[in-house]
Amino acid sequence: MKIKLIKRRSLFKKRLLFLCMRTFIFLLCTSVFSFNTITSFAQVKVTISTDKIASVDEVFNIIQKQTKYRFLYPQDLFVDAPKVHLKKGEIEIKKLLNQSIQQKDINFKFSENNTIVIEKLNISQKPVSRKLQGIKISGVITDSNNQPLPGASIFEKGTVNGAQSDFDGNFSLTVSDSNAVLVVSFLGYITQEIKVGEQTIINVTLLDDTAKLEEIVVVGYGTQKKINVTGAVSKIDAQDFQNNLGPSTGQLLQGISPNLNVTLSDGDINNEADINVRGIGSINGGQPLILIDGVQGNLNRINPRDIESISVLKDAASASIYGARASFGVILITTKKAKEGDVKINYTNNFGWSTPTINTDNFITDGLEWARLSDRLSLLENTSTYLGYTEEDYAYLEARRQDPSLPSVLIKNVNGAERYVHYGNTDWWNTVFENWQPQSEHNINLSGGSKKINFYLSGRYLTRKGIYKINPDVLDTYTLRSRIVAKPADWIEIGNSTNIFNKNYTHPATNTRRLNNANNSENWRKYTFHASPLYLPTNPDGSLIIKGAYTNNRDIADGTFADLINGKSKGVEKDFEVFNTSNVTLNLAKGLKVNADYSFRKRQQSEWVRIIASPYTNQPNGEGVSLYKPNTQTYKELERNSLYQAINAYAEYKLKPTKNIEMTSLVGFNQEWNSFKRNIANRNGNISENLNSFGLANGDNIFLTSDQEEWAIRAGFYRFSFNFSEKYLVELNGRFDLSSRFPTGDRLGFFPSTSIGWIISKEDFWAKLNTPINRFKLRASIGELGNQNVGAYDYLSTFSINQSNYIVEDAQINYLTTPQPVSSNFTWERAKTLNLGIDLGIFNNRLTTSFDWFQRDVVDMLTQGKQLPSVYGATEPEENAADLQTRGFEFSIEWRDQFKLGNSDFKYNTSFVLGDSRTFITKFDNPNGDITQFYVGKELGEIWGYTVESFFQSDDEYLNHADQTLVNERITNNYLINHPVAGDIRFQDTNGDGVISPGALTLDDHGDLKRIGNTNTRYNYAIRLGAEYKGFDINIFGQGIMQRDWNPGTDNGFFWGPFARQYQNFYPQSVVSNSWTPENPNAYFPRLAVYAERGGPYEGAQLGVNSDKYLQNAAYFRIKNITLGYTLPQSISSKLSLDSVRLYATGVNLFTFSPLYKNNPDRTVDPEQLGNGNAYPFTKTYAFGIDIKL
Amino acid sequence: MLIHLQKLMPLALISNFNKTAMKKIILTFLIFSFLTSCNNDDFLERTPISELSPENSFNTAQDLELYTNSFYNDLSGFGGVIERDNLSDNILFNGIPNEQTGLRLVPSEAGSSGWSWGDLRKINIFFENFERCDDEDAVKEYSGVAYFFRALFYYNKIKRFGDVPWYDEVIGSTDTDLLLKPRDSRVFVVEKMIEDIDRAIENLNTDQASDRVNRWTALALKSRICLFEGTFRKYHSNLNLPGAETLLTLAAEAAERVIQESPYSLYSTGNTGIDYRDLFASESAIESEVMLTRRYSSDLDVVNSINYYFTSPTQQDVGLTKSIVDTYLMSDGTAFTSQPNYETLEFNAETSNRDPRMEQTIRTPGYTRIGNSNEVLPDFSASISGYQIAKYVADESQDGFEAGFQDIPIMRYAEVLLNFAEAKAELGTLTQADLDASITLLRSRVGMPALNLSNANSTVDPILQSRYPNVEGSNQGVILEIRRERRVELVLEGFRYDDLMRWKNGKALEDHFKGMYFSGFGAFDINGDSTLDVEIFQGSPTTTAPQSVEIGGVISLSNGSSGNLVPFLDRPKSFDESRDYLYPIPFGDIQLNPNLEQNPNW
Repeated sequence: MKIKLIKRRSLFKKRLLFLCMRTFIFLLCTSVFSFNTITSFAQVKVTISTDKIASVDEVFNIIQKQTKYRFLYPQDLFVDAPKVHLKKGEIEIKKLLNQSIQQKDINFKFSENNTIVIEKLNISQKPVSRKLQGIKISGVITDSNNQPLPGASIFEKGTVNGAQSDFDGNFSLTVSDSNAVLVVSFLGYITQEIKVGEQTIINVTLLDDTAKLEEIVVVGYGTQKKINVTGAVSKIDAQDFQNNLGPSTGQLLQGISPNLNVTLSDGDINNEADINVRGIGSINGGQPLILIDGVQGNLNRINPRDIESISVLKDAASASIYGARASFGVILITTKKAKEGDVKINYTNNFGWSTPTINTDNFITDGLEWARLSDRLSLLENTSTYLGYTEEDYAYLEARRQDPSLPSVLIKNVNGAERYVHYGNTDWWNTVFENWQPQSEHNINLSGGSKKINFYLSGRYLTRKGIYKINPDVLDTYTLRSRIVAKPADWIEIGNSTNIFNKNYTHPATNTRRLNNANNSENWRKYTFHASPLYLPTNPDGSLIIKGAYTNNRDIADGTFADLINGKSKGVEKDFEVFNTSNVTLNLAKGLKVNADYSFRKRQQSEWVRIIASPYTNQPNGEGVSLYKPNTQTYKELERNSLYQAINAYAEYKLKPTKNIEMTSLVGFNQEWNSFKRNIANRNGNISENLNSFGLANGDNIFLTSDQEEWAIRAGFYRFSFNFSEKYLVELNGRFDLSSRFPTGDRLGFFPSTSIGWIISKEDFWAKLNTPINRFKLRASIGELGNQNVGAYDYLSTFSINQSNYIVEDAQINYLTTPQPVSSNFTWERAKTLNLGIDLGIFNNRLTTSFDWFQRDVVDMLTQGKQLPSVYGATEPEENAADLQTRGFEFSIEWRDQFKLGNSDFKYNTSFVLGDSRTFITKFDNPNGDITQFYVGKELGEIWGYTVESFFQSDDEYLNHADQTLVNERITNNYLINHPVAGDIRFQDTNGDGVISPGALTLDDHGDLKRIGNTNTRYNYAIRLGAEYKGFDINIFGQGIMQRDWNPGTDNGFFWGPFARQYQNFYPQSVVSNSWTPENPNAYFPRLAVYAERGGPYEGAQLGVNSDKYLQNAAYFRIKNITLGYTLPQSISSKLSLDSVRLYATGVNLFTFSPLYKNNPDRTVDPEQLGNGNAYPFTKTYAFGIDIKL
Repeated sequence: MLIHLQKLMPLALISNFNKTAMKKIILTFLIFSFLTSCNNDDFLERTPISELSPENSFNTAQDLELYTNSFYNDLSGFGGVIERDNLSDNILFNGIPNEQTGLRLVPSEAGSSGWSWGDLRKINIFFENFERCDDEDAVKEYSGVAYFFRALFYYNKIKRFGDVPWYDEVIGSTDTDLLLKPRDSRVFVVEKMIEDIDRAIENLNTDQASDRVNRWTALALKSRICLFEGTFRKYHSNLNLPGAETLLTLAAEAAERVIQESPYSLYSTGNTGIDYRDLFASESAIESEVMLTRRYSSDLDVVNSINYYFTSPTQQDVGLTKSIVDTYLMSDGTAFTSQPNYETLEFNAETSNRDPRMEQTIRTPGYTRIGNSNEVLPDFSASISGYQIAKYVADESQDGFEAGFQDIPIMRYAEVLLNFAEAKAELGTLTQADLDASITLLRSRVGMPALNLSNANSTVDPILQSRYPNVEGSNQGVILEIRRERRVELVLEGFRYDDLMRWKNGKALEDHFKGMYFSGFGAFDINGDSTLDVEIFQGSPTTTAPQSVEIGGVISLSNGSSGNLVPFLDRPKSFDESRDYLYPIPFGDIQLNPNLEQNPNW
């Protein structure tokens, strides 16, 4: 009801406004301007250097610059005047003024000193109509939302003949003939040219010009016109990611901007994305600085729909105003501001279902097949089978295969007791995991207000269900944001915004689960162990089984499946954060603005985990029931509190000392301080299986610990920018930083930068070149940043109390840790970046492209000091002793256009972004050239490995080959052989010394090793396609990397299958058939052998050492998102009293292409996720939703 | 332009402008005063709030206790005690250690493979700070702990590397003299160690608590160190190291002090069939005998996997070797190896009427798990030799991975007795009374007859003689019997490899160790209950015996189609007398310190 009332009132208001504006435009259009004095003035000519759209004020500036005449008029007289389309070339002042302000009811008065005073007339002048011969064209100009665009200019190309659209977007213009071309332009939209031909009604839809020159870009402590930006800054508009589906903002940013690299470690619904800008910042790692409305915050804790735009500051020049924390880039998030006017409401939702991206259907789930294989593998390296099933059992399994009605469990006397013997074909994956995980999201925002005060309010609820079938993991997040801006006077603006984030994550637990999500990957590893498909999840009487009848010490999935099925062990994580910013902006005088803000962020995290031991047995009649690992039964809690506060204060002064020079200076002050405290406690002896309290635990194992930390920074910063004639741009940025993380004498860091820009397309000669390139800008910057990414007290040698595993008198003793040595010269890492960039706009900005090349030298990286003899007895203290260099580039290109298809506009856009970087060590104290450490010239991520020639095809072949004992160590130790046999890998003796060895692992002597690849991602790219037609819209977004090498590593059953362990579950079927046998001598894998991948990268098992053959090409291309939408026609939505209604369906991670699948045909490894497979799988999601505006 | 504008403005507007200007000034002032108010000088001084710096500690007895508590973490548990016997001729498992194949490599990584010094730095930090404490009793007690652990640290170093640099101060990162110091001779280092252990003996208290070091554990350690070094110097006569006799005297004296002054005794309830077993399977260390222990607790979730290790397939499948099984005497005190056909006796006959410690160390016919009366046989899938370990194995509830919680003895009184007897015997000062106060006690606990000095020396066991060919002199017989006693009593307690090294018996590692004897292929009743228990087969099994061992895979029979189980028969074994008594120093460390000399022939 309420909404309807508001609607009615707003409709009335709207009509009133329409009426006023129509009257106003009528008055403007009919006014006339004439010069009645001094013809000399009228005949003076001015030169327009380039085609452009200018405001009336700018027109006066042009005249003032080129003539002796000065204009005097009230400051806001032309504020609302339509823009003027200026043609390049010479023009008489008279004509120019006519063109510019013909529509104004304005009077000009000449006074002395060539000053012309302009006044508003109260009486409208008589209109003078102008008639032209030719074809009369009329039509409507609208924007992409079908809203009329009043005030758009329509010109006949090559003439000054033009018109402007009225309030309803209507225009009419008489053109010379049918060859005429209409040029339709409006500020902020892409200019369109339309051939008149035989048409007399031409309706035009103008497309938003997101790449427009006048676009405002948020930069450190301020905004700049994009054209004036000289650093490497990418702007991301909300629309680029908001149509995508993603649980958190971080994930939505993947692939949006070149070299903004977003990665997820696993598909856990509670996982947050990792972000890096321009590759590896430092050997010590480091995250980009993320600022939300100017204050450091967490990207994943704000609602993606509250974001207006994001700026990514990639080079030192743009980031150096953030000094010490900006070495790895800065991400500035600007949230939505309220819009003046009626209350607008926007509601969106979506409902989706996710399923793993890896294929889980091709695991071996046939009990007999699995058992036979496991036995075969066990006997290769052991005297007995691991399962212990006898031929009699196998005969029964065969019989069951023929007749599935035979019972899957028999009772037999084993080891002196009646026991259940299982003969199942259990698909464990589908027993414990859900195939489709539902999720839903609801979003609502309201905004509106008056000139004096306005507000924005939004709320989001997201719920996702995880993969666990019984006792599932559920994530609920709530985000609430409010923002109020008051303008009590035109010189003051006061604002306050609050972001509240509340997360509740429930998860099942197992006996290995620890607090802080810490052991989730350990859980996943356990899931793959010992869970033979022979075993059923429960015995016929419903009791749980962990140990089979024959093998008393083999625990199915190390007991984790039983814990999941039992469902008593679980945990909850809660995260609550309030983030509040108050700010004030004062316009003290013309050009002088002062901003101050204070923010605090209070975060409270709490977790509990309750582990209840599961009862199990392999005996019938309730006998032999015992608890699984009762010693792990415990109750744990964690509380973490932090308070972060920040103050920013800065003043900006804009000055225009001469006509051609614009100067802006900004100086400011920043300080931030943070404190956190964490308490962890646990106690065993839970007396309740359902309640959680230390009051209900009475065991002796009590653990309690706490840690606290504080840090503070204080900084002063500045920016001076100079703009000469809108052509030459110079900017100086810098920051003085003091950080508590360094010793008193070494606290100060100064981080300056310089950047320059040259807008060549504004030079006079450019127009003469007559190129389709309408914008051409060159940029260069150089600067230095710091990295304070070290522990709060790393410069001090300290110790604290820890709990020992050593027990004295029935308690684990506490002990003081050993103080670690610290270096005396402990200070900032510095990153020096050189950036060269070029921005192009072609075909009236329909095609925009930009390219940046950069070189970043990170110097004085804190690293373990020079290696000392081991007698030193401690890790060498960190010193500022290493340097590295990263070089890379970013490229982006976008095409946006539209054309008529039938009677409707077909709008489309496509873009491509590409980023790349490589990092090399340029200084590191490693005189011996140890290749396992950093050394000068080492590329980060490089992989050393052996070369594989082929397989040994006979057992004797090794006699004529180099000694492979080292790399076959695992096999020769576990098997009856002391040499490789047929089907083993034949490594190449590259240095011809008769031994396959890693040598001394130094650059001078690296044996048969060579660099075979690199683990870093190269050539990150993304492609976007979008189109709109008759209310339908489609968006396709794909992201990929072109180059990445990956070594599957040890314990990766999802890749190596049975080569990992003979008791591995969830391994791809195809590995067996792809293994060497005399009949299959050219197989991909060597002869089957367990533990063949378990060894070090240089010495160990034949599949464990890095080798070129088993190095995987983990490049991929993934269709990250396809969204199909349909917006109901206005006629229908307005009947529903709604502004607009859009229905959409979307799919995430739908298709993946990767060369990795060649060696992993069962697709059990996700090329984006990689890892050892012992992790929560990535998911693909299908969803649909609705978006309503009212 | 501004001026012109002002001219155009009405006066009222101008005055309004001034009012606004005042407001602007006031607001700006407020902002600045707010900024300056939070501008205190120590804003950036953020000292640790939940950690201490060394300067603020070592002041009280509690500080010293908490700091020395960290030393106890360095005491070895499972790996350094039980698993360490895998290096020796006591154990067969599913691999051959490099110590026995000659395939040990010079490790490349600095600080790896035993050449780590962190524990020493930790102890020396104590010595640089502990005098700040005013509590003299505490200084005495805890410095005693620190001296004990420094001696223990260096004992492990010299055992492994021979000469090592001696440091009794914390090394600074720029202290090149110390960092690049050459190795000190083991003679010098042992002198310093004895100084340390003597101070520990003097300072430590005499409380009998097996989870803390005390005067008696220090004395026991002294006897261990001095016996090791004394016999090492005696038998490695080629190295011409002086002072063997002095060290052996010190060893005997230290052991004798424990025997005479300490409250410890051998654990015995008079039940000769289970006392020895219970000593190791006990949930809580039996403190009357166990002088130092690594404790485990289910309640505290500090657990081990001892049962799992000994009872599960795919662990290391450990089992005793035939060589140690042969070492156990008959229950009447005669040598098993003097039995006719002792080499080809089948399991049941082989294990009958033996030293009762055998049935408490391995599964023999009639073996039952603690807490269960079902007889269980050796599990050939969990023990590659067939002599499956029963020592340490507690009740079945502790069988799972990380489900065990029996304490592991690290130092026990029995060792002191053995040290005493051996030192005395090596010195030539052993008397029957000495034997009665040591070896005889060990034997009588398990119901074995006493060891007679003159009998032992007059009838030397030829098998032992051939095993230890370098034992000579009038005490040869008794020394060999003491060695037999030591091997049997201390099996799986981590001594055997070190003993072979100090006795210069490395060649004993060269043989392919054997397991259980089988007269051929086919099914066997190994416990004499007339049912077939295990089939020894080639190809595929032909009977339904519940267990089977395939010959031709990992395992061979020593004579081809009959004989003892021998794993990895085709893998060469070797021990280089000129090299293998010491471990190599990592290559990386020699590169970092050119003054560091590598051990001979590495």
